[in-house]
Amino acid sequence: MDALPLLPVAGWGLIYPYLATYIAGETKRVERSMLIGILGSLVFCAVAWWITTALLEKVVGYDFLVATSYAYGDGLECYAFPFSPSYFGFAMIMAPTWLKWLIGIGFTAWVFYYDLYSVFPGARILLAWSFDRLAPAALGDVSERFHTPVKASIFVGVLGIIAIIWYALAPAYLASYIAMIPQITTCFMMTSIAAMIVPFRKKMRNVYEASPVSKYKVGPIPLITISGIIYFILLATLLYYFIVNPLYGGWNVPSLIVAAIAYITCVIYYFAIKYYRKKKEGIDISLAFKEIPPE
Amino acid sequence: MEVRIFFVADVHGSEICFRKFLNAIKIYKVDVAILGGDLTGKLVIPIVKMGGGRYEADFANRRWIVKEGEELNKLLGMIRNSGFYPRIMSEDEYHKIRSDNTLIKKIFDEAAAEVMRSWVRMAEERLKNIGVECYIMPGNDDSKIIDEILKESRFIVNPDEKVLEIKGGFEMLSMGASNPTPWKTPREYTEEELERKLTSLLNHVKNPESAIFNIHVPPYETLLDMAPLLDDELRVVTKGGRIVFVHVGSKSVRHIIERSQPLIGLHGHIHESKGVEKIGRTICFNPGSEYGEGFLRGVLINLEKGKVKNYLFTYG
Repeated sequence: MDALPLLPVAGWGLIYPYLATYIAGETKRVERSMLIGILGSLVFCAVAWWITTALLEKVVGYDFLVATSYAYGDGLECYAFPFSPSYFGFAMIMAPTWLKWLIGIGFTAWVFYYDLYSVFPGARILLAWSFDRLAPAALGDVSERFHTPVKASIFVGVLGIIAIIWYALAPAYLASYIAMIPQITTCFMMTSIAAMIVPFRKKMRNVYEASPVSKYKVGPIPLITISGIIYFILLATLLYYFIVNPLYGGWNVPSLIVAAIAYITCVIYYFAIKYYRKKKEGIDISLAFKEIPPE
Repeated sequence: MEVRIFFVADVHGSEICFRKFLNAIKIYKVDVAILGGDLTGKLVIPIVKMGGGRYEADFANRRWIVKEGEELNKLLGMIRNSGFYPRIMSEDEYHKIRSDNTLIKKIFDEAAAEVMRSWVRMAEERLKNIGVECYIMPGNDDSKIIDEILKESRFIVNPDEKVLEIKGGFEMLSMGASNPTPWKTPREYTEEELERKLTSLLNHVKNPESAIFNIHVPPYETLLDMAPLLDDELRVVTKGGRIVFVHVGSKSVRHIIERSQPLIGLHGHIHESKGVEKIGRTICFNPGSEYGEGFLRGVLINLEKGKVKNYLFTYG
């Protein structure tokens, strides 16, 4: 229970394997690949994190870590390092030149890696939006040569570079929202609610019973419902501790404004594009998924 | 004048999909509704009377034993919504049909015809007075008995192998048959025959650049004609654990589109290949199909002043 407030920290490092599901349809031996990819990457990250943490504590000591974190967090004058307390920051001071370069390049490359793995889901989302007329048709083009949505991938990649520059230059209280915890948790809390109720929705009964998931139950309760409940509780707990603990720095007015801008922009964009399509092109895009009654 | 077209294909006998098609026409405020091919189901599901008010059937990979009344009606509904034709029969009849392919075909044709007649009646009742033009075209999977039934209607038009003028003055060239498939379906032409027939139809099109090509089989080598590769025993081929997809569309259809460059191409046939692709200036659509799950996939297309104003894939 004492470790629960650290859930957001674990989330920052371990919440991203879900991104693999966006490309599951394009993966060879998907049942095996996804299992190894998602669970394997979680285990790999957790072990790597545990090893580096253990080594750091062994080298500098627990007291040093606590003291520097406290001094930095409270803005004490005695903390004179030009960086926040982190193992690569301390390594940069102590390491030989070649190792400093390696750490610096590795850290910089890691940021661009974020951009790269955003391209996979981002491009596919734009492709779907293009079909639903929420995005320009050009973003839905799939290259005949490369069999991938090249234009959408470049677009997402460039947006990612802009985000990286902003992250580097913006004040800390604005950049802290890049942590993405509230976005991911609220988005997937809706997904987990859907998972909970899909076996019981009359309109979805046919689809659910035809799917391979429907044969898995724990007693009378569908496994997908149980998974949805567990996931919802996990995400809600993660979000709760992110909100109530000021040390995460995400729950403050400037950061919340940034978060609100992100959500409000999406809402405005949707209604603006809907208005444009209706007024100029005569199509109501909300018809794309409107349920049609058979009677 | 703006014309809104709603195009759906490959309902394969699904009662729920056809009913949704009719209702969607009103919901989407459509001017021209086109059901482009593969109207009939694929199988008859025998429901055997076991006595004592009990019935038995094999459906959706399980054995169903149901009681007369609500349970039986529910099963009948599920079978119909999946596009199959339920047929209640005695045990003797069941054993007889198992060894008689001619009898199976006769029962299938009767069931398909009966459903088609009920659909035509339903369409007439629901659409006759709302000012919509409704075109229902058989596809390669549909037997010739469907043509006679569609001919009986004074409201629905079967545009197969014709060039017609639709609302807005657009010419529509239609072809329900496909190039050869592994299943030797009722309406197949060789590529040479298909090219000849399409060329003959094209000669009746006055303005190809503003024409609509309602051709069931999609053009070859596009995003609209990717289907799983099958071996000689019609099993899906996998490589490295992954299904191998190949282009199965028609080369003749591609040639005719490249040559004449109509305004749009409307295609079905390959349920998995929902998409849109341009061949030159022609925008070709395949809405895909999820008839088995009871979802209606379609595409709404707004045409104005001889061009495509907008389009939207629908799923409901």
